[in-house]
Formats: sequence, C-alpha cells, structure tokens
Amino acid sequence: MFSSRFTSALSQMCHKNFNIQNFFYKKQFCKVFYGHSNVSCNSFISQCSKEQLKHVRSGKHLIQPFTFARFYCQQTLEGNEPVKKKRDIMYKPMRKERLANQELFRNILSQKGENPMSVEDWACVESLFLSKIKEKWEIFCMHTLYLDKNVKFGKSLMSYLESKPTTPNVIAMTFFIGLLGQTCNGSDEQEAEVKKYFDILLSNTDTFDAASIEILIQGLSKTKYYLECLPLLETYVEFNGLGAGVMAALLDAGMRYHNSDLTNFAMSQFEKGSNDPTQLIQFVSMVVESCLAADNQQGLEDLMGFLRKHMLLFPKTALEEIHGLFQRSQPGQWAGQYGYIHYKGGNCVACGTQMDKIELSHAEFEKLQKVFLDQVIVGSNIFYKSTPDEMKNLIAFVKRKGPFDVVIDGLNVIHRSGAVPQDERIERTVKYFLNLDKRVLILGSKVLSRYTKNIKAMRNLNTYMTSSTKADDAFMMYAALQSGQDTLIVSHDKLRDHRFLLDSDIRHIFNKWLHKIQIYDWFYSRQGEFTVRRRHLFDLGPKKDKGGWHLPENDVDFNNPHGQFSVLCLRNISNKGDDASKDVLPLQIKAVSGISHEVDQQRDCAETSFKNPSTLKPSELGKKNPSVGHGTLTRAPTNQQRPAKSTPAFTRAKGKDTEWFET
Amino acid sequence: MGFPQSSFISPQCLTYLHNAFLKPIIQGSNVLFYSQSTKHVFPASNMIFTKQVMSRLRLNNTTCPQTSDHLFTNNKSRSWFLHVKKSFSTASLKNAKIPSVLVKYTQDLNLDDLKEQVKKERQSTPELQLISKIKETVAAKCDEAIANLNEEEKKALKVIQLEHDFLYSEGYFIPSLEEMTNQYWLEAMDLNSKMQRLKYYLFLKKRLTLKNAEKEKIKKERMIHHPEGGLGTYEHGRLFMRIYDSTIKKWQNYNLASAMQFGTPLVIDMDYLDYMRPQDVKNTASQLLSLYSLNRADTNLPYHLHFTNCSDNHPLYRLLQIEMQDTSDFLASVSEKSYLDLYDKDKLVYLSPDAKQVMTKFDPDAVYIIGAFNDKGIQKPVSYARAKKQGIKVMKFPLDQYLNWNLGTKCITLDQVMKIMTSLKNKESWLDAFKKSVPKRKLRN
Repeated sequence: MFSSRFTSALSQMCHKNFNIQNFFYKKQFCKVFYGHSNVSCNSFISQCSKEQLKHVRSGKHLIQPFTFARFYCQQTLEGNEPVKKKRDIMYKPMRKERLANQELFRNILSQKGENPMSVEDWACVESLFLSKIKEKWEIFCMHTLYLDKNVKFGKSLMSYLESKPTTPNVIAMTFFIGLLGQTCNGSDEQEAEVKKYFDILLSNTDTFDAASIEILIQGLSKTKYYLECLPLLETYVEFNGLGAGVMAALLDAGMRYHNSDLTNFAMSQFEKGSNDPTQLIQFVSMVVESCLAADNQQGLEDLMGFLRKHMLLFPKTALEEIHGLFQRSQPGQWAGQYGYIHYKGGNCVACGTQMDKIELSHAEFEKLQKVFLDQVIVGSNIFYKSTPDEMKNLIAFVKRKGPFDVVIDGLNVIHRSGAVPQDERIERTVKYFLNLDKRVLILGSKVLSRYTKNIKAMRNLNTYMTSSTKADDAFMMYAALQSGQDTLIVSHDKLRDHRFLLDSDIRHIFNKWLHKIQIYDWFYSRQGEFTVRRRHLFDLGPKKDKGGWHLPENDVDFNNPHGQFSVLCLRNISNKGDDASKDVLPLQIKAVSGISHEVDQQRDCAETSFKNPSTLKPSELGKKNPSVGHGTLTRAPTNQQRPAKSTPAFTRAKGKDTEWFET
Repeated sequence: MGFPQSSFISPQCLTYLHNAFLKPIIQGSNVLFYSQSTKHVFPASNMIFTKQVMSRLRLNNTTCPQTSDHLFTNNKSRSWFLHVKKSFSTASLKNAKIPSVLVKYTQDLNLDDLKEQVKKERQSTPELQLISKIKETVAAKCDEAIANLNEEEKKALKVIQLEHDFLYSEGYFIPSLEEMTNQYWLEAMDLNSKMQRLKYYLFLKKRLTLKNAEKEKIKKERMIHHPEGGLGTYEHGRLFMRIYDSTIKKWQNYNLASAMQFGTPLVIDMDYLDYMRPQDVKNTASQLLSLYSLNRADTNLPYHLHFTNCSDNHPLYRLLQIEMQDTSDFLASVSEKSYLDLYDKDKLVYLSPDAKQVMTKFDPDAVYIIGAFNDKGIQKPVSYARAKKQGIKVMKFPLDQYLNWNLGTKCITLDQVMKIMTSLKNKESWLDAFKKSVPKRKLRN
C-alpha cells in the first residue's frame, strides 16, 4: 500500500489541469500501478470531473481493464449515469418511429398524472397519432399500456373505444384482456371484466393466431376463467408447439385453483419434446407465489418433487424471492438461512436435518445402460465422434478386460488445474486406486500414451486410447456403465454435452448416476498422494421435512464448477413446542457462533446453548442473528472458509460396493 | 500502378507494348496490363489494341478445348467455351426436403427458353434482365399456388396473416402488409413456430432496407462521378479505345477455359442439402457465386472447379444459375458423380474446420475438396465425419497458428476459403494468404 504517495501525486496532477484522458491513454497509469490492485484512489476519483470518470469507467484505455476495475470498485458509482442494461436475449429489433411515438405517448400520460383521461383527451391523442403512425392508433396505445401494465388508462381507453359506433379492434382487445388479467390480483370485478371482454372477442372472431393466443393465455390464466385457455391451446400447438412460457402460465393457474390435472400436464410438458426441465427454473418463484397465495400444499410438493427429480438448482435471486414469499404468506413463521449440506454426514449445517442419499434403482440403471451407446456414442452419425471399427474395438475390449472398479479420464487428470500437463499425476492417481486393490481403466486419446509409459505394466491396470479427443469422454462413461452400477469415474468434467444427447426422459437418470459415481474433487497432498476432498452423495432437495424446506442454491461458478451444495434452509418457527422447533432455534444460534461443522458437535453445542440461553444476551441475539423473528437472512459458514483438512480414511475399502469409498 | 483512368500512353510506348509479353493484373473490377519489357502498367480500360492482345493470347494456346462428355461443345460460331446445356429433366429431386419456395418453383423452369424470350423482349425494352424475368415467373407461380390452396391450408394462411398483423402491431421491425408478397407468405407457412416466423420477417425487412440503401447509394455515386449521366466521358476519335466489360469477361473466361484443361482441380462437394436450412442454402449459393468469380479473377492459371454430387436440378446449382443471371458461360465441371469416382482416393484432401490434421503446406498434386456447406443451423462436424467415413485425408488451415483471433466465431466463408486457396496456389505465404482473406473484425489488432 502506497496510497498516500499515490494520491498526493495524483492530486497534484489534477491541480495542474493535468489531462487525465491523455494520461490514461498513454497507459502510464497501468504501468505505474500494475499489480497494486488494493491502491485506494478515492481521493483521486473525487477530483475527476464527471466526463473524465465516464471515460475511466469504460476501462478502454487499459491494457488490462480488470486490474483497474478491481481497485476502482472501491468507489461507489451512485449519482452518476445508470448502469447500462444488459440486452435481453429475446430482444428483437423494433421500428424506430414506433419507439419514439411510444415515448411521446408515455409523456402525454405522465403529464396527466393522477387525473383521468377525458373523452376529449383521447380524441386529441387519436388525432395526434392518426397522422403519425401507419398502423391503427388504438392498437398502438393499448400495446404501450400493456407494456407499462397501466390498467387505469387502459380501462379509460377501452371505454372511449366502446363509446364509438364501431366495435373495438380485435388486437386492441387482446392486449386489453392481457392487461386486465395480469393486473387483476384476484379482484373479482376485474376477473368478470376479463371474461366479459373475452366473450366479446369470441363473438367477433373465431380464428386466433399463435402470438395473440400467448397474450390471451397470459391474461386469462391469472383469473378463475383459466380453463377458457384450453380450447385455444389446440391452435397454438399446431402453429407453435407448446412453449415454456405458456406452460408456466398454465402451471401457475393450476396451482392457484388447485387443479392437479392441469399442473401435472404442464409439468410433464417440460420433460417432452424440445423443452427441457431447466426452463421451469425461471418461472419457479412465480409458481411458488401462487401456490402460497392459494395455500396449495399438494401443488407445492408436486412442484418441488419435479424439481428434485431433475436435480434443478435455484438461482440466488429466485431463492431470495421465495424466502420473501414464505414470510409474506405467513408472517413471523418462517426463518430462512443459507447453509450447505455437509458432504460427510449429509446434514444441513444450519438445522442439522439429515438428507437422504441419492438412490438409483437397478431398473433405471439398466435403462441408461441400454440406450447410452445408441444415443451418445452413435447418435445421428457415428463418424462425428468415432468410427464403427473403433466402437467395436471398445465393446470387445470392455467385454474382455472388464468389469472395472474405477475408470479414469486420463487427460482430465493430467491437465486439471494448470496449463502444463503433469504426468506424475496419473501415476499417483492410479497407484492410489491400485493400492486399494481395484481394477483400474485409464481412458484417453493417443496423446496420453506418452505419459503412461511408467505405469503400463502394472497389474490390474488397463489402458485404452482413442484416436481423437472427441470420443474419450463418451467411451469412458460407456466403460463405466458396462462394468456395473458401482464403478466410479474420475473426471473433473461436467459432461453436460453428453447429457443433452440423451432423450429427455433419461437425462434425469443420467444426472443421478453421475452424481453417484463421479469423483470430481481431489488434490495431491504434500507427500504427493492422491486424496479425495469431497464427494457428495446426498440429496440437496428441494425437500420438505418436519421443520420446513431445504431449497438448493445454484452456486456453480468458475472456481466451483460442481457447486458447493448450498441450500436455503427455511424453518417454520411458529409452533415452538413441537419437535421441529427444537432443531430450529438453537441451531440458528449455533450457526451464528460458527464454531464447528461436525454434526455431533453441532448438536452438543446447540443443546448447551439452548439449555443456557442466558449465555447470549438478547440484544446480541438480535444483532447477530436477525433472522430469528425478523426473517432476514444470515449466512452459515460456507465451505470456502473451511480448511480442507478432511483426509479420508479408507480402511473400509473392502467389497464391491460404492460404500467402500465413502468417507 | 498509379495510372489515372484517363491517362494516355505515348505512341512509342505502344510499339514496345505490341511486342512485349503482356501480363494482366486484375484489381477488383479493374483490369491492368503490365508489360514486363517496359515495366509499364496501364489500365485495360484505356487499351487500344485489345483485339491484338486477345489474338496474341489465343495464339499462345492454339489448342481448342476438346469436347468432353459434360463440359463443352466445340461450337465454332459462338464463343468456344460454352457449358453444355442439358435439357432440364423434371425428374424428382434426390432429396425429398425442398429448401425454399424460390427453389421449388424454379425446379422445372426452362432457363434457356426464358433467355430466348428475354432476348426477344429486349428489342422493345432494352433494360430487361433475366433475373427480373425469373422473379416474375416465380411470383406468378406463387400466386397460382396461393389461389389453389385447399381448405386447411387456407385456414393456416389466414392464421399466419393474423399473426403477422399482430406482430407488426407489436412494433417489430418487420415488413408491413403491403411489403409482404405471396412468396413470403408461402415461405412463412413452412416454418414451425412463432419465433421462427418472427425471425424470418425480421430478416426480410432487414434485407429490404439494405437493398434500398444500396440502390440509393449507387444513385448518389452516379450523381457525383458522372454529372452528365452515364459513361459519356469516353469520346470517339481518341487514341485509345475503351475495353468493355464484355471483353474483360471474355478474357477471364478464356483463362478459366484453359484452367479447365491444364489447371489444378478443386472440388466443390455439393452434397449437403440435407443439413442446411432454407436460408443457409441461399447464403451458400451466393457464396458459391463469389467463389466462382474470385477464381475467375485469378490472373495466374485459376483452379479447375469441379462441382460434384450435383445433378442438373440440384437446388444450390439452380440458385447459382439464377444468380449468374445473363452470363451464359459457366466454366466449371458439373457432375452427378462423387469425387471418389473422379479422382484417385490417395490424392483427395478434404478441407474441414473440424479436422485434427493441420495443413502445413500446399500440395499442388493433391485434389482439395471444399464442402458447399453453411453449418449455422447444425453445428456438427458433418464434413469431417463424411471424409472419415470415406477414408479420405482431412485437413484444416493453420488459422490458429498464424492469426490472433478476436472473441467470436472462427468460421470463414466459402469465398474466403477460395481466396486462401488462390493465394496458396500462387505461392504466397500462409500469413499473407490469411491476412488477405480473413476479415479484420475477427482479428485482434
């Protein structure tokens, strides 16, 4: 840190009317302060003008924008121009004059403010836009109101249109129904209005197109007349196929009105055809909201069961929303806490609830085994990955040499975490498994044979080299699948591309299987021994238990491609006399103190603190753990903060069972 | 090479030139002639003795191209290189999937008859072009098809029109109802989902605006360069005669014709129709067109292009013919056979971006194969898989070794591949070849 020198130098420069832009363009800034990312430059920045700041923030001038960005972010950006919005993926270009007119229309409305629009006003708007736009003015206005969800002006526009002798335009009416439905929030009057206009619409026209059906379903599905959507679906499927947005709207409606047939239908559609269950995730907080609003416990459990089946993780934003929803639906009854499921015991560190192990039935495994070769390796054209000869060769090889206990992705082991391949890694890994008396197969491309010279002659070890790197992952999984249900694979890869080659009804089995048998987190100790760090065999949920819910968080990032098993632990704290609450309250107190991670210790600790609550002052309690009662969030100690000292003991390594490997 | 367009060459110089060996240089649309003895460069448009040059060139290669089964007719009266026009059979397509409406309705179109018709009509309307005639016939056929729709299809069309109206009123940048022709409606009916149709409409609008902008640009340029209008700046009675485009074309065609006798073959594999979407087929056709003209513009001996797996009514070939418009001479071999039947298997080298083996040097004896394929729709190693299946060598350009790529895709178009191949044939280095052909936006600094 040489912040004082740095800032004084900079402030001098600023006083002398130093041209900052020049300064940055010459890249001196970067040269001088390269590597000093923790330099505080607040005082410098405070002296920059707005224009200059704008320039600096863009980071264009830097050789490495990250360096600057890292220490620049100490200065908050409030009060300056808004951060540029990320462009939506679904964004499609609009007509420019249309956008300008929309702005104009919004301005007119905002000038009106709270006052209602009179008939004269609308006439004025009509004459204005009649000359300005080519399309019909009422559609334009209604669409703008629909986008803004401005129901007050929407209603007054509709009444103006109705007062005219001609019947209102069909498209304008469609937008109006969408607008009414999406803003009705359960008010009976508005729902009746939706029905009324929908009937008028039906009397006016009998054919609908896919685009207007989407809007109609978005509107109707929010009301109790949601079943009116279903006849529209026929045309929609014919011209578009069932999309995720419409299915989510129907699912939402089914949840709200306790229609389990509809919800089951909608959920099953997410598994079919071109849809993938992951699409449901973006709508999940919406569906949960309607479940809670309608008190549809069964529906909520069905939904969570579906998510659990496909091992879907919730994004952080969705979890926060859901947490808020739970608290709003039953105020004061729910406490949420972010924790994780411990990989050893399978307990939630926040509440101690034991999670189940992931089970893969024999029938499921056989199903996967049967189709894997056909769908992943052969696919539409075997030459994309391999050749028929090579495949035959592999099948014969696995028959002759198999079954194996461990299949190692050789290239992955060598190349993991580091640009330079280290050949002793594969040797250590293999030795580790051979010492456990396992039959090992190394799979890799031809390149790998260079590194396996030393270990080739070992007993119980087989190697198989493919001609290119396109097939080695798939071959590895094939060898593991053919060897049996408990054969492990050692690879850091997430293998997603292979997952999507499978039919959509088998993907969840594949997920489960991988979760069970893949070793992805290992390191080499100081003595150079291969050591498995974490292996998570437990279910992350979403799962309901006595005390509440566990919702898995999507914490996959660059450093943790397999996630950190974080969960949102939602606890019901309403009935304190019950067994459930015993787990809940004290453990929260414990989690704040954050001493230990071992579950047994946790229990002890929790009990003591529960027995003796006086050790914590009430004021402190409120301060440290505001989640109790108030419902805000605290974070239990995460995996990162933990020292990775968990050297597993493998004395139990006997028998042909996955258990031998557990820690 | 800094000769201005209207410069003159002294009469003494001309006598030199007359005896000198003339080497033509083509820069874009300009043809320059370079005299090795006098070290003079002059633009072809100012050459007085085109005829002499042409005759000289002809003398050098006295052998006429011989008749071969699928290439030439030895027609003395007209230009001596004419692609054999087989009568277009109305046999059904090899692929059941017909790519686009334009292709569908030009399948059984007799181009020769149309050309004759255009010739006749030109006497009354001189500016009539073949392409507009083709478009007219296609539009007429589309109108007919729309009129003959059955009940179900009529209903579908109505729904799609309603949807278009709805999307337009949502403010998307798509063509209005007046801009939509029957051909567009028919194409929209082939698409399966709302999003696909919306994307198609957006594409149409974009194309329309681009076309209009181009037209206006050309108009403006004309206003600037030729205020009197047209090409009236060339006057008769000057020393130098202008070389017309047709002359240049003839000369280029001559070059191509000799390449077809003596040049290195380059195979274009046309068997990718099953893997492409309609829009990709169109793009591929236009890329093939520029590939062909780039090859033609090569001043050294160009490649002998060989379109294989290409039947006469192959949609891609059809589109290519249509886009070639009035040029009657398509100087390339076209055959229905596979390249495996035509060339020795050991010599064949498939160029594929997915290949493992990197091409280190250009082998003049090898027969390189380029797939006429745009893989925007399916990103799968189709060409690589095909070559492996047939047991041919597969190679890729050393693009990674020589270029510093920017973020984004590393794919290059067919005409860029052609540019690279031409440079390689002309013994340029890899770096030069790549720098010429790969667009700058794809590279860093």
